[in-house]
Order: sequence, then C-alpha cells, then structure tokens
Amino acid sequence: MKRVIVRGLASGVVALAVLGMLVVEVRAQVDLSGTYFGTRTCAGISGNDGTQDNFPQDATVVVIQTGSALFFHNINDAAYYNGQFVQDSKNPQKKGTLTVVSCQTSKDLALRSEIVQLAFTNLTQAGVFLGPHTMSGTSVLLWDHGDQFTCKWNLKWDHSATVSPTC
Amino acid sequence: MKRFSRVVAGGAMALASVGLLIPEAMAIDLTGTWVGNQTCTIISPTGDKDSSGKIKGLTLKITQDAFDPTLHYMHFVEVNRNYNGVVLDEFKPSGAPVPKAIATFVSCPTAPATPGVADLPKGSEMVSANFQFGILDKLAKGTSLVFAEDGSQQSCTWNTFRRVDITDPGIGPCP
Repeated sequence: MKRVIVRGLASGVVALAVLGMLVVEVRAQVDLSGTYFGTRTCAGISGNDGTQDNFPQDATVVVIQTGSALFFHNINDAAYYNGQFVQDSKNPQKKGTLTVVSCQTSKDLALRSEIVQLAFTNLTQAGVFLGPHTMSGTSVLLWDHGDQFTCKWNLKWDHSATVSPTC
Repeated sequence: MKRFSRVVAGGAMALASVGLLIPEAMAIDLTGTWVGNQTCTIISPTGDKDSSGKIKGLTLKITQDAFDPTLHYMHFVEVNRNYNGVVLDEFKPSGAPVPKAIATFVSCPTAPATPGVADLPKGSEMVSANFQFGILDKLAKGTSLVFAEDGSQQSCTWNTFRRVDITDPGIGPCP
C-alpha cells in the first residue's frame, strides 16, 4: 500500500512538473525586438527605362515589439514600417508570421510603398525560448522612379535594439 | 503638364505622382476580364496556418485609365476588393520593346500609417504581377501580400490568369 502511494505521489510530481513546464512555455514572452543583419534581394523592372533590374542589398533592420505591434526600421533605405505579428498556434515559442507596411504605402501608389511578410523562427533550446533568430520572406515594392520589384528578405538577429523606430 | 491636367480632371491627381515618372510609355492595356488561379498561405489571427492549395476560376476585372495609360483599376471579384495599379512596359537594354509588362496594384483600403500606431488597415494589400502578351494574354506570375479584413495574414501566388474578354468592365479608381 505504501509503495502504491509513493508511486502515485511520484507520478503526480512528474505530471505537475511537465504541466509547469508547459505553462512556463506558454506564458513566455516572445520578443522580436532587436537589430537584424541580412539581405533584401529584389527583382523587377526599372521605372527609368523599362529594363530588368535585379539587385541584392545589405539590410540592417531594427525591430521593436510591443505586444503584437511591430515597429520596423530598414536603416539602409531609411524606411519605416508598422505592422502586426502572430505566433504560430502549434509552436508559438518557435514560429510565427509578421506583416509590416512602409509608412507611406497607400492606394495612391506612393513611391516607396512596400508590404513585407516574414516568417520568423526563434532560437530555442530544449523547448526554452532564448531569443529571436531569423526572419525570411517576401515583399512587394514600388520604389523611386516608378521601379517595381518583388523582394526576398533574409534577416538574422544580431543584437538588442537601442532605438525605437516608428512611422 | 497637359497630361497632368487630364489626370486631375479624371479625379486621379494623387496617382499622377507615379504616372508622371514613367516615360510616355505605350503602356500595355490590361482592360478586360481575366480568369485564373491563385495559391495562398493564410495565417489566421490566432496563428493557425492554412495552405489552401490552388483556388481555380478566380476573376479579375481591369480598366485602363482614360487619360493615363499607365494607370489601371482592378476589381477582384471573389474577395470583393478594388485596387489602383500602375503598369510598366518592359524593354530590352537596347530599347527594343518586349511583349511583357509588370504591374503593381494596391488595394483601396491601404492607407498611410498613423504615427506610433501599428494597427494596419484591414484589407491592405499589394500585388505584383507579370504579364506576357501573345496570342493569348497571360498573367505569367504574381505575388500578393495581404492583411485581410478578418485580420489574417495572407501570401498568395497568382498564375495562369488569361484575358477572356476585352470588354471594358468600367472599374473606377479608389474613392
């Protein structure tokens, strides 16, 4: 009888421990804030002469997150973006998606209009969130001179952010 | 300047900033009804991922602006969304024309950001589409990124749209 009780208690402790880990994981904040280094590679047509125009570009991006709100600053182009992000329902600590839109983007086809959609993958070890790791995805860009591009973004978290970018 | 005045008269003053920058292009006329396919990945507001697979038989109705041939207005029938767009003809480096064009469309709900506020207008969307012209007009490939009316984030690939009717559907610019 004593052995059964001990086993039951042990099982209960294990179950509580597992439950506790799950709760901690669910409650853990995912914070994408930071400075990211990477590239934006664009392909499209030049507005100047209508010829094909393709270019890779270094990208340094500062991200500040407040709740689901994201403020995004592409330093290389002095471009600011606002947007939203959502964590993946099945693996919220590791994956998610964000959409950010450059400040001037509008139905009036303003130059430097851009919508960026990125998937992020967080750096985790043994299920524990350590920090944002990478972002990659696509954008549609209407650039100076009427240039039209689609772009591929690849960014990697490098260090914490010190400046809050906002439109 | 004459062209600018015409655009103003047409109620598209804001769009002229783009149209004026493009050389007196013989912008290809996309007017008509286009039918084709789209493949989307949809992320719901709660983070559920839905890769819908190919959706067939979608309809786009496009009208070229009466005064600025680079400007086009589009209605995406199935999502009931309207767009302003600008078309750019493609040329070889030699200056020779190529039977291709690229177009960027921005949905009407898309609006400049409110400083300090990260909320995006529902229905915000940009589309980049590549058109080829020949015996059959064809949208070779396109990409659209959407922050939809239901708060979902969507990325879609458009392809194999073909113009099935050249009748002007009478789509106007965004209000």
